[in-house]
This record gives sequence, C-alpha cells and structure tokens, in this order.
Amino acid sequence: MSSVLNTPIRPEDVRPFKVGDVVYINGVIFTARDKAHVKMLSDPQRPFSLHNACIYHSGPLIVKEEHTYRVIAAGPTTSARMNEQTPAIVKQGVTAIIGKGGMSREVAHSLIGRCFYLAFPGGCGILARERIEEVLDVYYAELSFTEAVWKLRVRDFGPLLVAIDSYGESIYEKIQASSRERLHQ
Amino acid sequence: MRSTREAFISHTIDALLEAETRLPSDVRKSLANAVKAETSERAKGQLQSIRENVKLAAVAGLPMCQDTGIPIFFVEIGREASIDFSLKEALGSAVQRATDVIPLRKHTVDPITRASSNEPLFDVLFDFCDGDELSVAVLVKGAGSENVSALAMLEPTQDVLSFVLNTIWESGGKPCPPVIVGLGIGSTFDGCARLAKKTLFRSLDEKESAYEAEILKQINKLGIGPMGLGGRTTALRVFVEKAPCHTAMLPVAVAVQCWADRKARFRIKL
Repeated sequence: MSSVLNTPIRPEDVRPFKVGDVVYINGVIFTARDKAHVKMLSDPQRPFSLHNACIYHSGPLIVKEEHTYRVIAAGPTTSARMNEQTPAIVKQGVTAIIGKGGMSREVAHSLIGRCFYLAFPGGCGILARERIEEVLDVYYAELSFTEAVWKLRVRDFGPLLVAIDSYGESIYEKIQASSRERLHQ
Repeated sequence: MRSTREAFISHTIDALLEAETRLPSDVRKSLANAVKAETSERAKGQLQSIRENVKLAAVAGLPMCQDTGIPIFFVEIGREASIDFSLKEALGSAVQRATDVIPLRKHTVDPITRASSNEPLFDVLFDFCDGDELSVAVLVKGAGSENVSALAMLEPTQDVLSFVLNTIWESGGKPCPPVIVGLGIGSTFDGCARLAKKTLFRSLDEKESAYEAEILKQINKLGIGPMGLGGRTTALRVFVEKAPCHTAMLPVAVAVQCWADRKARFRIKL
C-alpha cells in the first residue's frame, strides 16, 4: 500500500497502514531531536501543539539569510537516541514519527492504536531538502539551530517506509531477531 | 605573495567541500554493486534513494548529509618539507572557514556543559613520508556511525570475529548501513583505535585480503541490510590493520563508517 497523507494526521488515519507500506506526507512537520525532546516535555508553555502532530527526528542544516531561513540538508537522525522520551511524546498526541534506524520495543508498544514510525533513508539530506517547501517557524532556537524545533511545510515528503505500525509490529525487531539467530550459528 | 599557511588552508577547504558534496567513485561503485546484490525490493529501494541523494548533492554542490560530521585529517609530512606555521591551528581555521562557505552544520558542544561551542571540531593523525610535500587526506565522520564504534581489551584467548559481529549486530540500523568497517587489531588501548580509524582512509577499490573478505562475508550473513531494514549488504567493505601486541593482550577496535564515506585528499609543496 502506498499513499499520500495530509497533516494533521489522526490516529484513525494511521491504522490502515501496516509495516512495509510506503507513505508520503503533505503538510506540516516538526523536527525534534535530543534536546528538543527533553525541552518539549518539560516546557509548560510549549509554543506549539503535539496533538495529531508529525515529529521528524532531524537536526537539519539550516542557515539564516536576511529575511528567511535556507534549508541546506535535512535528512533524519538516529531515532534510538529518543527512545526514552518517545512514549511520553506519543501521549501528547503525536501520530507520526519520522526517523531512521528504528526504535525500541517499548516505543513500538507505546505506538499501539495511535501512531506509526516512518523510516526516511538515512544520510539523504538533499532528498529531504527537495521536499521541504518552506520554513514556517522555529522554536527553542536557543538550543542551537541543530537542536531546535523547526516547523516545516513539506510536499510529498518521503519515501517513508512504515517500519513500526500502530499495531506495535516492527521491522527492526524482526530483523534483529533473525540476525541474532545467525549471530549464534 | 600568498603565505604557505593561506595556501594550505585554501586547499583544505577545497578538500572539505569535495568530501562533503561528492561521494568518491570507489564508494559509488560499491553502492551500485550492492543494488545488484540485493534481492528484496525494500533493500534495493533504500540503496536507490541513497544513490539518488548522492547525485543530487553533487549537482547542487551541497553536503549530501545534514550531519556534516567530524573532519578527521591524516597528514603525512615529507621529511624534507619545511613548515613555518602551526598545522593544527591552520586545520582549525580551515574547518571554521569551511563551516561558513560550504556551509557545514554548527553542531559542536562542550562535552560537559553541552552548551554550543565555536571551537573547530576536527581530529588529526600525523605521520612522516619521503619527499618535500605534505600529503593531506580528510575523512568526514558522521555521529551515527561514530557512536556505534567500539573498542575491547579482549583476553588473548577470546575471538576477534565474535566481538566484531556483536558490535555490528548491536548497531543494527543506527550507523546508516551499508557501512564500511575499519578494524584495528593489536598495539595498545589507544593504538588499536588509531589503526582502525586509519584503515578508513583506504580505497574500497583496493584488493581485499582473505581475512577481510571472510569478516565481510560473516557480517553480511547477519542480514541487517541497508538502514537496518533487512538485506544482503550490511557492510560494503572491511579493512583490517594489525600491529604487534603484548602476549597478555588483545586490543581490538571497530571503527564504523556510514555509507556516506566522505573522503578527499591533496598534496601540497610548501
């Protein structure tokens, strides 16, 4: 199954998808990596809502120009570093997480019924740049441009592989189990 | 007349630009072969996205990955060369200038406070060579792959291959496979890490030893595949470098490099 999803994405929108499906996203996504995750969870005045939001694990390379921000490259970062904070982020209403490299079993479990994890090809900073239409806003810029939350408008953002679905099925877990068997052969 | 320091800095910036924006032909060739080796559409798809990204970056003259990494320099100093400036300072200046002109991502922090830092982030290995030139190689190392690199002070009776396979298994999709694996065996605690890192400057076109080929085969049997999503190519290449060690020791370092094996080199007569 391959299709285009528009944001905001509701929990019922992610449920038809199963691991192995390919998705493209249109609309608004928020980048967030290590520091932003801690900040989002501890900030009582968080200036944006995570309800039905799409989080993108990325520390983009963005430069400030006179009246605008220019996206140079914006591929995904290693999602596993955000394992610890992710169940709490999902509870805030996040319905789609984009990243690379996979997430833990605990995270997969926390997604059940409401969110899915989408893999963007790692290292592909320019592929991602091509699908970003506009920088809409930046939050927590004091954390640095790399660690800030960037609100981006994207067009056909992908290809995104459903790697953990909203039933808790994870491609990574399967691969890890089969490779562990081969490791001990 | 332009100072020798300025000439050196200018060459270094050019090398950084080349490394960040143009994946070397040995790696491109290896990725093309990986597409042929894969049988699953998913693995092929990941590799095709990577190849498309590499092409787009070269055309745009922009860094292929937003993690513009840590430049690791390998400087070989000709025995007859005379250098009237600090090489380390000049490399730092080059990295700082490259950060603005290429541009590179500003992701340097103080390791204790984690506050952003303006200090140039790079590492350098020095060696000597014949002649009167400086030979400089740069390797751009991403954090995703550096984070899964590992070092073990094994007991002499323990198995090197098991340690390597465990390291790669644990890293899964995190280092952006297909990876390049540099293995340093022997020497000392820090010595084996340097050996491992140095191997990553070698070309994938070099003929592999039987030992390297065997480790590569074992790694690829794991089936982790491109981006950890399953497949035949978990690693593109294994490089091994060894050095004598104490009879009571077996230091082993595994330096992992992402598919974006960004390398460039230049020679300069000062």
